[in-house]
Amino acid sequence: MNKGFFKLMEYEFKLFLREPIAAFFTFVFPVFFLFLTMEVFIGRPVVEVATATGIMEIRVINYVLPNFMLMIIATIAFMSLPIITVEYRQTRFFKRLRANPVSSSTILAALGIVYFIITFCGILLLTLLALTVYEASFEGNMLLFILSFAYSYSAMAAIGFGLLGSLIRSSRSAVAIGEIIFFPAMFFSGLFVPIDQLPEWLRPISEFIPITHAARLMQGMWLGEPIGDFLREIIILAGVILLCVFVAVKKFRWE
Amino acid sequence: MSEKAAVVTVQGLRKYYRNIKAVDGIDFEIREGEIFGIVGPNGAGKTTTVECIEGLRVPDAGKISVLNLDPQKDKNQLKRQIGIQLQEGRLPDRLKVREAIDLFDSFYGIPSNHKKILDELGLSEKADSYYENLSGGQKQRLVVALSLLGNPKIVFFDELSTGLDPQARRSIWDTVRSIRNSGKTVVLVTHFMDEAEFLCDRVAVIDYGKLLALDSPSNLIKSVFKSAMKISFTSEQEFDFAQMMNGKLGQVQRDGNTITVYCTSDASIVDIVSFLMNSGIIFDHISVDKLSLEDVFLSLTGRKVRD
Repeated sequence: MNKGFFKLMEYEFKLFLREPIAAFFTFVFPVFFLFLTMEVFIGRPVVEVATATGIMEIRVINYVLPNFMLMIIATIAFMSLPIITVEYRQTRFFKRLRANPVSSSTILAALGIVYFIITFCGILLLTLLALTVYEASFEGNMLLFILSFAYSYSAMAAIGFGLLGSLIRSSRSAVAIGEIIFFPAMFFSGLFVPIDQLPEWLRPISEFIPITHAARLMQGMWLGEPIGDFLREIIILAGVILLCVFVAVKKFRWE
Repeated sequence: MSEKAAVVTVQGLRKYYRNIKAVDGIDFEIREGEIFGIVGPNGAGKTTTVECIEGLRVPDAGKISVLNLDPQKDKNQLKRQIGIQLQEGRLPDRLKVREAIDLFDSFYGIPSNHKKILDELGLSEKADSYYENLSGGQKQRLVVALSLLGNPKIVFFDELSTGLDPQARRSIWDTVRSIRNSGKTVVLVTHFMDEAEFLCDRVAVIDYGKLLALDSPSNLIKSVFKSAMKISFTSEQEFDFAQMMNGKLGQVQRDGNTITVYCTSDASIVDIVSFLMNSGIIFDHISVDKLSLEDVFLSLTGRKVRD
């Protein structure tokens, strides 16, 4: 691997842990929020749903958990990534790094991978709680699930880094825009409220929110549904990645 | 002093931003082992010039050779041999001094002696402090330390002492000298004339993207002014002193009640004073000063304020 790659990851990780708010929203808040959802908002571990074939019992946690995983991905992708990108550009830290014999791709790869690992840690913590306390059951293929997680992360990170990181100029607006995107994305994608409980006129909006498709894909993989059923989601997310990479190539500035 | 080989050659350098001519045809050489100063008003093109030399900017025209390398074509090779301090560059607030050195050192294959670098720059006690908790002088010393990693042959400093208190400035000046004494070439961009005069072996004066003068500070003073002396006094009286003197004793400049005479080589204070007495002029607060690089600078670039 390129020189400096692991040191960049090591110190980026330390810097992340030293920023208490970001670390709180990635590691502590989702766990707390999952607890709150299960104990207060829903209150029962199993709900009965009427389907075409009769009444079906579903374990709530198996639907809630993938959504919460996406909440962590969204926190990292829409908040952390654009903020550090804009900040490193504004303070000329990017420029300072690039004045050394280290390639741009090494810097980008180190940032992208370290935030993937951070996201993964947050998700692992959450999953442990879900498995031990709420008896979540994983019914899918572990490899496919991890791939679907990595794919969803890539698409959201492409938005956060490629799109937001390229277009936003000041760190103050990075914080604001991150929030403006984060909350509607949570509400209208079925993460906080199931889509069929949204007012009817709002439902089509969810189709235009990339995270909706990531949520469907990850939920399907968690429940062990065949991957072939999710080609549409996979293609839409690929389109998102391509679009963001295109914008980044055109618009991204190191300084 | 015999002339050393050139380590940087710049020929016909041009860089335009839209219709602004940031650098408009500049030629010079930087010699091995010297402290080479680049001075000029804000927006004169100093930073653009050095960043083209460092390979951080792509020139529109001209030829640059640094250590026999092309800053664009041989970018990666060049980055191993030069050290750069950027104007207004900052590090992440929560990065520790020790960590910053470890991180930046990891980009160069051969590890440096971190302890020695910390000691030399007086940062040992601050090794475990966050960047955000350092004083201005300590931040700049850390940035200098980073630019020395990988043992570069040429080090570039861009406004190194801006915003520092007098003690910290002196201390960073000592550091710059000791870097030169260790055999490295130093390129110093500054808008402080005292700094350039004190440190630099040769100074390039740049304005509006052009090179106005290039020489040692003392030669620059000699070339612009006939003697190295100026005499100032105040007078309430309105009179055209320049016309009265008729250019005999030197150039005259009036700024409110203060009149300054930039003396010709044979004019002395006695000549000026007797001239004033003979002309019946009432004067006060007379002072004699050595001309400095700042006088040269103002005479070359004018007194108009730039933004």
